[in-house]
Amino acid sequence: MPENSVVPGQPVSAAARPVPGSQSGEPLLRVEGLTVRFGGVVAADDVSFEIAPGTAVGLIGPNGAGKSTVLKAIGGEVKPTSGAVFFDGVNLAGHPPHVAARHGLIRTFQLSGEFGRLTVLENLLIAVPRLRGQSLWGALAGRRWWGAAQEAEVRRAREILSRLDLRHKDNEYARDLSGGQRKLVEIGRALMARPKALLLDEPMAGVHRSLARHIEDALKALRDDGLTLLLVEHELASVERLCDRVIVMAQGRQIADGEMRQLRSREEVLSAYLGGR
Amino acid sequence: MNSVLSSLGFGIVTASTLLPAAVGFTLQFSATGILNIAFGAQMTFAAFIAYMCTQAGLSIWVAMVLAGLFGAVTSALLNRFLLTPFTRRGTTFFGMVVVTIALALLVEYAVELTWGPLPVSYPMMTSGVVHVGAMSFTRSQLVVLAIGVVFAVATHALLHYTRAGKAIRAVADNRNLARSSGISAQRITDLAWLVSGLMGGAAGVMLGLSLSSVSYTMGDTFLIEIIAAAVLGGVGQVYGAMLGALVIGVLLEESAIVLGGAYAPISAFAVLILVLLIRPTGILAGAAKAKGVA
Amino acid sequence: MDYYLLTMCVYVVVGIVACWGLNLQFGETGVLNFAYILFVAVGAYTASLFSLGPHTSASYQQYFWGTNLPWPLPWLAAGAAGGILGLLVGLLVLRRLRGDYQAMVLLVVSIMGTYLVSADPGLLNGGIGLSDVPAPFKNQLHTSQVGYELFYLGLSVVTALVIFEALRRINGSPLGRVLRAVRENEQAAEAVGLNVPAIKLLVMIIGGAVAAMAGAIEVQFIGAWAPAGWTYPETFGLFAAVLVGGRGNLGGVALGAFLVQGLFLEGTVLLPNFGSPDVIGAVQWMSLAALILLFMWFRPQGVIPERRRKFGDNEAGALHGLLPAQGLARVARGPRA
Repeated sequence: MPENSVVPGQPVSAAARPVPGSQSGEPLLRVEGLTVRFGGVVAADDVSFEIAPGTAVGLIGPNGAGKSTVLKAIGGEVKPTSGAVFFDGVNLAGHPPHVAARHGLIRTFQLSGEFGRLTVLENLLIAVPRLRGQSLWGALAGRRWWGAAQEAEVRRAREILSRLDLRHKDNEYARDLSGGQRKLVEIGRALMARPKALLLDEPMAGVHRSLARHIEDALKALRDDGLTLLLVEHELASVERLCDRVIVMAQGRQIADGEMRQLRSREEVLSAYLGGR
Repeated sequence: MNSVLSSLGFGIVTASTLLPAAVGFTLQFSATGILNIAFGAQMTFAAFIAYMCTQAGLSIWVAMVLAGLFGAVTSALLNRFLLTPFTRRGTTFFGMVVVTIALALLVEYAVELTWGPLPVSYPMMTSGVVHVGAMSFTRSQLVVLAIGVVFAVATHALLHYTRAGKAIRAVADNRNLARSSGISAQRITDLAWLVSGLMGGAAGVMLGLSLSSVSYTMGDTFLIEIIAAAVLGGVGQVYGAMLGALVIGVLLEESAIVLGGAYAPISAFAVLILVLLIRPTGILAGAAKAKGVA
Repeated sequence: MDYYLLTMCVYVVVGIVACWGLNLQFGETGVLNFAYILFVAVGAYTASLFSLGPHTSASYQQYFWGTNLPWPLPWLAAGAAGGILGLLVGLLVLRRLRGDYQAMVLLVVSIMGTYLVSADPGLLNGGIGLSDVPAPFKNQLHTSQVGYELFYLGLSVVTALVIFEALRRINGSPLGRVLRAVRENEQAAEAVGLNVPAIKLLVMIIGGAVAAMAGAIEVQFIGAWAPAGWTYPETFGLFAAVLVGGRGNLGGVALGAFLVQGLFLEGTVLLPNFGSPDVIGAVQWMSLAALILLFMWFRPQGVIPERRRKFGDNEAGALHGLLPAQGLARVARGPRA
């Protein structure tokens, strides 16, 4: 049975294998008519946009604009009421989060996205897709079966950690780290999964300024290296430095889309921020 | 058909016993988020306190009042000095369930040690059967029914017309928001546990009356029925608990006729499972809360 | 005295195996299986039905089906039954019910189980339960009572060791890490690509099978099994053992089983009688409850806390300090990309 299944015979998803995203011109992420309704509230209303591979896009707007909802709907944590989310050619809308992750779309969390009582290294190792020994038969086969593969991943994890300046904490419990360090662990973990794109939910929230800069640098390096980013963030200065393009939302709807510099002076954007709830 | 109707009567009596219990249980959950598995044992304890009072010569009704007061005080103290310290430490939901189960065992077996394993009963009231249409009730059952109605009305009055009651509802809805608008959550919690302890104690005596028997295990099965009623109406919803009590009470008695006595509690269990699987928020919970999601 | 000691040993082995199964579900993965004792009961009943022989009109006890197979088949059948029940219960309950609701439903399922079996005498002989369950090889081995008990203890220990090895391998492997991740943060686990419902279902199945094996070992030792022996507080006793001993690690849990099951619940055999059986029973449960509260307050991690998994040093990433984050994505992709 396939190594990546935890339960034998369980297919990864009903959708077809994704098309490699390196086809020029094809957007990596395409959101079409995404609408999310809870009870009587329309949290996201007919949101549509495309993201080309290798770009970083910011999703900004006042509180309650629905940015987090859109991110969660793309990542699979929230089921959209209607609309489609095409990632690398596959419609992920409505599928649970692990399906998106298996396709290379990884989401980080606003709060507590780490595994507290696992060490930093274990946090990273968890994200490795299809690691030997994660299935029942692999585990029962013993260390002889999965030991070497794990060693290789540990080395890779340590490389990532050293570039995030967390190498010395690799055997610490994640919950014993500071808030900013935990965010970095999450980013490191997202990277271990060899993602094609990252959905970042306020990665700089509540983080000390120096560490926030560090996170920003890490994200910039990732973008330069070809990773696609979609981030929700309130720190507009960081967004401007990181993102080639921003989408502005207010009260569930998209109201602007373009380069930060240009949007600064647009009237609808200003009024959304000033007059918005 | 006759037996179905007369069971309806018994069902309403059972519901009257369930009502204060379910409301009490729900209050505790909505005020502190604790699933108090010891609730049944607390009821049993109060029922035995009432028994002790009747043995000392007091009338059953005085005994019930005393049992209610006993329940109120012990309940509030329990929450203040045992449960709250645990929650303040960050004990998880499961941890609290374990704590309350341990508590339930302590109370239940303490009761057994004190009063023995054999069931006892309250002194019989003057016998007499009252007929209402096809249904017939003993005098005790009628009084139990009346008390149930009084509790229903009193609960409604408390929650809607008193400041304390409104505060309880506020805290139940959104603890943090309530706290920031100046309501002392601690005081309200104390009050909620006092009231729920009172109702639990009274319910214990009512149960002893309607079963004509008081034993140290009587809280066990009853607890499941309480939880069934509370969940049916929506966990944390007091009005739902009252509705749930009515439904479960009638269901229990009707299924006793239809399925046979041994199977009656199973119907309550089955309802509970079905509700949890299909609509965990309960009948009255209304639209799912939109807040906290976007 | 020997006899009692051997009896207690078998009970302790049963308790340890049962606690290991619960540890897999609750200690490692965080699944609150409040119906755990039901799985032990399924194993006991299955092992009984597979060794009692078919029901005849001359039998004084009723049960719906029976056959007489040699050891180890009744035990293997029991394991299978536990696994199947785990699958059914898991599918029914774990599908995206909130954690606290799952726990309530499981508790109620457990209570329903005792009720249903008690209420229907034709199923498994109702509230009286099954008795005269034959013990494996008893007729073939011509030894004394003590001799046979020693033999049975040997059988149990061997079985327990096999189960131990399987669970140990799971615990120390990447799968064990996956389970602990689910326990720590379900949402994050999903976001990172783990199929959480499938994982929970897996531990329900395996844990259920282990529970059932414990039941099988117990029933063929005692020779009888009735609903009074598997009421829902029994699950609590097992949870207590896991909590006291130290959840998440097999050794700690075994210690907890020994302390709670062995000393508290069975050790009264060795103590002088100080009252009627009711009094002793009451004191037992009260002491257990008090023990739980004490541990929950003073040492919630248990006697032997879960150990932190450290990885040995290798040369990788020995570079230290605020390196520019360049090449981060390349490193992330790893040598294979």
